[in-house]
Amino acid sequence: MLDLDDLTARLAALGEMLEFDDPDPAAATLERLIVGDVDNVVPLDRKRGRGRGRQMLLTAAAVFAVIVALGVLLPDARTAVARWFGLGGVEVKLNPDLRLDEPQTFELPGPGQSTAVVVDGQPILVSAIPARPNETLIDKSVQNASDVEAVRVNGHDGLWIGGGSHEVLYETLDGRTEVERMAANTLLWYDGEVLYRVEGFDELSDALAFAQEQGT
Amino acid sequence: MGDTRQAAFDDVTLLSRAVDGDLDAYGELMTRHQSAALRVAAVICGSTHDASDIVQDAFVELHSRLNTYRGTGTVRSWMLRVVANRAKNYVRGDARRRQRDDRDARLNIRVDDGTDELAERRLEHEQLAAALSRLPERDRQVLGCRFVVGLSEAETAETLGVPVGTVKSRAARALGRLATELAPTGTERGR
Repeated sequence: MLDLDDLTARLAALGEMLEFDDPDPAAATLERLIVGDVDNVVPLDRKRGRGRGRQMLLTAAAVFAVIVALGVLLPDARTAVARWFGLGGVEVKLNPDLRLDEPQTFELPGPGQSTAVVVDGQPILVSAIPARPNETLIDKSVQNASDVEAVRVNGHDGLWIGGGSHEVLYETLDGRTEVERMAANTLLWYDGEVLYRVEGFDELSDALAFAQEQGT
Repeated sequence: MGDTRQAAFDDVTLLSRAVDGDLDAYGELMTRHQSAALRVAAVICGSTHDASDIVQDAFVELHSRLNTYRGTGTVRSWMLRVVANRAKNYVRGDARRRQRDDRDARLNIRVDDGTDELAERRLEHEQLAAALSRLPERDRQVLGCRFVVGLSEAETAETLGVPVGTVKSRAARALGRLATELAPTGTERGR
């Protein structure tokens, strides 16, 4: 029988000798946290906006402080952090100086842009990615997800990918394959050469209702 | 203030800054504890290959709930508990398990070019890792966190979500089992 003190020393030595594929996950995590293309943040009250068609009433107007792409983009220095939320690797902070007296409208972001929306207190990220529909890449996206459902969104074929983190693959307009890792449930649909992505709803029915309200 | 207490104090400060939106502070917090996090993930899921992804996902999750730290344990063990839970869920996920190649489901040992002595030591590490992998899951988790990662009994308890007394008794029993596994007769059984 081995001496137990010797055995614990050997276990400690084993720990020192372990080799990892990525020994610095902190760096990779930071990339996931700060890389994102959120161009706009709006707090949105679906209860008030529901049924008003494509243009939805916002409960607040003066928005937006957004953390994105390698830096903090604040409209001015007066905007302190009011509230943080994390979503799919994008971190967004809302301006505390929100004004509640000037209703505005929300529309789907233009190609290449993203908007973070607070729907009933829940952060939702809406992105419009210039991309060519590519069945092979859609299949691959489906294969690495555990909860997938084919849906129709405003007359377009779409996919609901749930069940936690997963990867979405798509083809850019110049033919490159991009892979994005999602941490939240995602509703996807193509409209021409734009891939719309709505992340953050817990339920497919809520995600579909939100997408139908926006229309494409 | 001792080094350990100072480090714990610093962790709370970093966490507080991270809650206020300081991404650099969160980066520092992750960097401090990623080595332990990788090892916790590896000993629970049994794979150094999968550990990096598990830790990354856990760190992203932690960042979205930084304000949930209640101060009942150290910041480190609070972080490691999320990593441990991620690793446990990963192992339980049938879909993930099906995707895993056998060669990825093991603890990889660093290769040091050099003497026969280093090669022999590496072989010993591999035998130890193999013996560890043959232990029951709970034994492996406790031995891994306590000795491979080097956590205290309290931190091991917080990380695994079990009482300290359980850590003590289970670690003692598991060490005995591991010693049996490594004994010549145990090795020959080839379980």
